[in-house]
Order: sequence, then C-alpha cells, then structure tokens
Amino acid sequence: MTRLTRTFTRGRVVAANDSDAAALVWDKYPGAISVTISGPTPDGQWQYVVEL
Amino acid sequence: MRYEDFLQAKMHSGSDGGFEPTFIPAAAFDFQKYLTEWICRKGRGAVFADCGLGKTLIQLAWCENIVRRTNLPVLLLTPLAVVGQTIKEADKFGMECGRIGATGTHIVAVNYEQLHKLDPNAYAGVALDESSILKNFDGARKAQITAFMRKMEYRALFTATAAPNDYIELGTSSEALGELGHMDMLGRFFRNDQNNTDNHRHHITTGGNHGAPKWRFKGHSQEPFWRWVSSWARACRKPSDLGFDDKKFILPKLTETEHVVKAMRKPEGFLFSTMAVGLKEQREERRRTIRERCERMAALAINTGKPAILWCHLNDEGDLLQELIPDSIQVSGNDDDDAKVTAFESFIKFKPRVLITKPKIGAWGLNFQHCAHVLTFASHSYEQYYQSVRRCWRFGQTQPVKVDIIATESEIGIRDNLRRKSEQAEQMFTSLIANMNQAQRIVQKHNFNKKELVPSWL
Repeated sequence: MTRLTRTFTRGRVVAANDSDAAALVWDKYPGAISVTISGPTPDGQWQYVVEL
Repeated sequence: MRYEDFLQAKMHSGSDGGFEPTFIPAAAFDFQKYLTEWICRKGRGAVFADCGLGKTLIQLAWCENIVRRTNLPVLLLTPLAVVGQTIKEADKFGMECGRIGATGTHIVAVNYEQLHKLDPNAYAGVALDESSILKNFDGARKAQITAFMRKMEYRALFTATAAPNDYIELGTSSEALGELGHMDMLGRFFRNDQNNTDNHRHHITTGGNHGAPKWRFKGHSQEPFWRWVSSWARACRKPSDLGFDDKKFILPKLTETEHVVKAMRKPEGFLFSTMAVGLKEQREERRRTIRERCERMAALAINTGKPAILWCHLNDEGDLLQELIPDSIQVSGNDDDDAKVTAFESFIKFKPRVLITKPKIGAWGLNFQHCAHVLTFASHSYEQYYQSVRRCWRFGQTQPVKVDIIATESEIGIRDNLRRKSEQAEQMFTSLIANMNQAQRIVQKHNFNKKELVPSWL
C-alpha cells in the first residue's frame, strides 16, 4: 500500500463563534491545507478537522 | 448488418503511438511542457491534473500539435458554458480555436450536449475536458462518447476527478482510450464476492468497512493495477509530483464551516421531528427545510460586500435565494446557453456580486478565482462538492477561501463521508505518482490472423 501524503487530525476548541474557532485552529496548525469547523456542541465547543 | 460488420464497429482502431510535439506555448510552465510532450508522444492518454494547474493550456497544445501534424481539425469537448472560456484561452496562448461551423483547419470547441450533431470522420483527434463525464459505466453519455471515439486515432482525457466514487470508474476512461475495456479491467485486477459480472457501482475497500464492498482488488493486483493505469495516464496535484517547483502553485487557506439548520415544521403525520435515515426521508427533509436553509445561506452571503457563489440543488432553492439576496443573479437550467455564458462572465466582472446556480450547470471547468466565498447545501456527491469548491479554491486564488456548508440535522455526517471519498482520491493520486516510473502496458491483440493448427488425427 502506498503511503498517503495528506493526513487528517481532529480536535475541539472553545470559541465565541466559527470565525474565532477557525482562527484558533489555523494558529495551531499554520501549515495546514484546510480546516473544517462544525458546532458548537451544547457545552460551547467547536469540533475541527485539519487536513495536513 | 453482417456479423463481421458488427464486430468491426465494436473494434477500436489501433494506434502506433504519438509523435514529437512541434509546438509548445511560450506561456507554458515547465510541468505543463512536460505533460504536453508526454501526451503528444503517447498519442492517446489521460492527464489527471488538479484544478488550476493549466489543463486547458495542455489540452489546447495537444490539439494544436495534432492539427499541425495531420492538417485536419481536432475536436475539444467541454462542459456547457466552458466553450467560450476555452476559445478565449486559445487566443491568449496563440492558438486558433472556434465553434462548430467556423471555417478553417483548427481546434473545434463544442459542449458535450452537441456531440450527436458531429461526424467523427471529420476530425483527426478528440480531447475530453472534464472527462469524469465518462465515469458512469451504464451512462448514455459514456456510451455515446466511447462510440464516437472508437475509430479516432488521437484521443486525450483531462480531469481532476477521474474516479470520484471508486477506482472501477477508471475502466471507462481506459475503454475510451482503447486500452482495456471496463469489464476486462475488472476481470484482470478485481474480484467479485458473488462471482458474477455485476458491474454496477459499489465501493472498493482495501480492508476498511465502508458500505458494502463488491468489487475488490485481487490479492496481489494493487501495484500492477496502478502500474497499468500509469501506462496511459499521468497524475499531478502539484508541480512537485512531477519533480518541478511548487513556488508559483501554493494554495491559500481553506476554511470550511458546517452550519446545521433545524426544521421549523414537523414531517407530515408526525407529532415530533425524527432523524431522517434513508435518502427518501433526507429528500423530504430537504424539501421541508428549503426556507430555513435558504434564509441561513442568504444571511451568510448578504452585506459582505464581497463576491460569493451559492450552489443549490433545487429550483425552489435558487428562486428563493434570488428573492432574498438583491444583488444576485441566478443561472438555471431553463436559461439558454448564451444567457448562461453571459451571466458567468458578468459575475467574473463583479456585476452582480452573488451568483446562484446548480453544480451540474457551473461547477465544471469555470474559473472564479476572483471570488473567495463559497456557500453550498450539503450533498452526498464528492465530485460535485470538490468541483464546486475548486472553482474558487484553485491555483491563482490570492485570498483565503471560506466555504459555508448548510446542512439539516440528518446531514451532519455528510462531510465525513465526503472526506472518506477524498482520502480515496488521494490514494489514487499517490499510487499513480508512485508508479509513474514503472508503468506496465498491457498489449491487446485486435487482429487474429494466425492460422490455427489442428492435430492431424482430428
């Protein structure tokens, strides 16, 4: 099996809105290809998936 | 019709291969030059290059080389509304390209819908822009295009999403090029759990448990499969895949945000809302939530002062969005071809600011790098989603791109499903790139002219 060059990482951040959540994730993974944000969960967390 | 004539009609004409190109546009980047040279030398081949890597330039250069070599016109088939853009690009790069009916020996750009009007004998070669149109094995369009190309000496396919759903879709591209037929490919590299020839679309997994796998790779056939695909296709997501510099091809940030909309009305006959499980229920929920979803989308697109493209799936969604957003234009299936082209061109000039259309009308081939805001309703189609986003998030885009996905409660997991398909597409690109230097051609025999020897005692 050929090794893939792109990988995905998941996590959660606490933010006031989706733009702030995206900004936090981009700060955490500056070299990422894309960031997907969804949420918030009832406890105010935004889920993210980062494509590296 | 005689049986011999029937067999002759089914048979692909052989090709001795390609030729050394005599023309490479001065504006071509080094990797575009490499791909143009490769596909000219092959004569028949496919280029699976990512959006924005200049497939139009490569396909025009391939056509131009064939025009110069054969002194016959070459056909370039494109999606609807891309013909005008292709003719402009040809002019920019110093090539002559016109519509059907234009006089002279040159490249003829036509949309797929007009193929039935054309005579294959009038052309030396055919190039398919966005050739993923061939993906459906049972499709009428695939059958029409394959039959049209069957006797053509020079054939080329260009797409970013060669097999958007599963690898068995590569068989239709191979067949169109006159390589292994779809069923021959399945028989050689894949196995079927039920030991039959059912060729309908099913997921292929390599040990995972997505869906209900039907056709799987045979035990040791994965590497030979990719080596064989590499014998007629080149893949490239970025120039460095082919050993060139990526400096001018760096994509900006892409941020996707999922917005979940709750239905205001309950399903008919229900006291409370339940999760839509099957496709039928999801469709019903989509219909029931048109207003909620459109209002959310309009709220995200209105008053931003920046261009935005809104992808919808239903006519009612498009009409309501147009009503909610004053500075918008809708391109619908009812518009004639000229009106569609005019609307796309005016959107590129920021007039109006917002474009509303369906992916099947405008998601293939068009360049909207001036726009960095994409809004779409959730969809199960990976190819539609990928192409919709890639109209804006492509090489040449200078701003970070924002994608807003509006989903109902039952569509929350759709993005994960699309991500799985994206990983599979990634696997295809990676495998092709890894095997490009060890391509393995399968030679087929079309003429059986050796006399059979029968034992004397028979």
